[in-house]
Amino acid sequence: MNILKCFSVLFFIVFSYHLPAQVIRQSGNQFLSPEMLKLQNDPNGNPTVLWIDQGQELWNANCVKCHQEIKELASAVVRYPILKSKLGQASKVWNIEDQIIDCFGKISQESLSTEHQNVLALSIFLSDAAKGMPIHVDEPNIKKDKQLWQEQMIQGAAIYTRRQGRLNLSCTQCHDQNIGKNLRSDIVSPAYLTGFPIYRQSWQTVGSIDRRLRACYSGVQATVPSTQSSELRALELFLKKRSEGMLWDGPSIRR
Amino acid sequence: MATLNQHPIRLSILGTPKVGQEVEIRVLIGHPMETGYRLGEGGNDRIPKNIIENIVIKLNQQVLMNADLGTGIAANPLLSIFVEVPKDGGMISVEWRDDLGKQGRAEKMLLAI
Repeated sequence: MNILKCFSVLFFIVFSYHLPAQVIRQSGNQFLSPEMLKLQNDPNGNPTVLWIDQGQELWNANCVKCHQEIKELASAVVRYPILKSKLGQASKVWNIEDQIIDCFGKISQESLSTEHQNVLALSIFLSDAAKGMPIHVDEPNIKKDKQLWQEQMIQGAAIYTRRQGRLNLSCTQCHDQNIGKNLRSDIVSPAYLTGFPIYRQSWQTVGSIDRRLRACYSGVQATVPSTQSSELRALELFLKKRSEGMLWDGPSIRR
Repeated sequence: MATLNQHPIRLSILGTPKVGQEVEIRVLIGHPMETGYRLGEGGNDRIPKNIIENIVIKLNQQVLMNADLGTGIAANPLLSIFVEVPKDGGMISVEWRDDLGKQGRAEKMLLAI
């Protein structure tokens, strides 16, 4: 046993020199101030627990009839967005909130917005259950969908690197080239999608990924796309794929 | 669809409840705490004021804290107080009421060891 240990250590020392220099990908939580991080990790003070409680209530009332295993469904959080086609419609990129809205539509025949309290509560509940799972966004197997998926991914990358708005900034200029610097009183974090929905203190409430991205658009004074638009979904797909393999943080808090 | 509790509440007791020592009592309430100064979507209409006016924390019906909150408190208020654990422990209860007449309460046993 000891010999085996010695060998494995030796093996590691010899071969670690040949590993390529890796970019260390950090989740946004690592850029929080110490006080915020304390609040984030505190199950008795983190405001998202209020939504998790509500989500649990909704889950027990509506979802248990069809979905038995919460863990199974929570794995969708790290798999989405996916390509999905509704009956008689062309394939579209769907994220987790679209899926929840669709499910609620089946139960109660009403169409909710992504910022509806019930949608966010359930989304947070699932996101919390998916904590610690590695993000894995896979391309579809069907050939026709595969092409569309790749087109969407390319579109997402194009949006990410496109200068826009009155400030004439692209996402990549802040979130790749100026990570760790101050933007007003906040520290710029890299654009990895590892913990949504978020509780933002400036909103004083929870918001979906749509709301967060729309806030970015309005921050650079660009034309803000509507919620659930294909532009936002393409960008989200690209960002999620970019975070491939990172661990899901669960619902997060931001300033 | 089930109607949700609009104002969820979390009451937690932190620390080891040894007799004579202090524990932290934390209350987290889901409440919008609208100041009444914000404008709505159109930029014309004021969002009506909705503030928690009073919170009372009791231990065995004896008032520990009685707070009048105002518009300066953010949404989803988090309050905490430190209490010395009495000999036989007791029941911690929280009650709040807002200016629209809504009320909420929560209870938790404080077991002394």
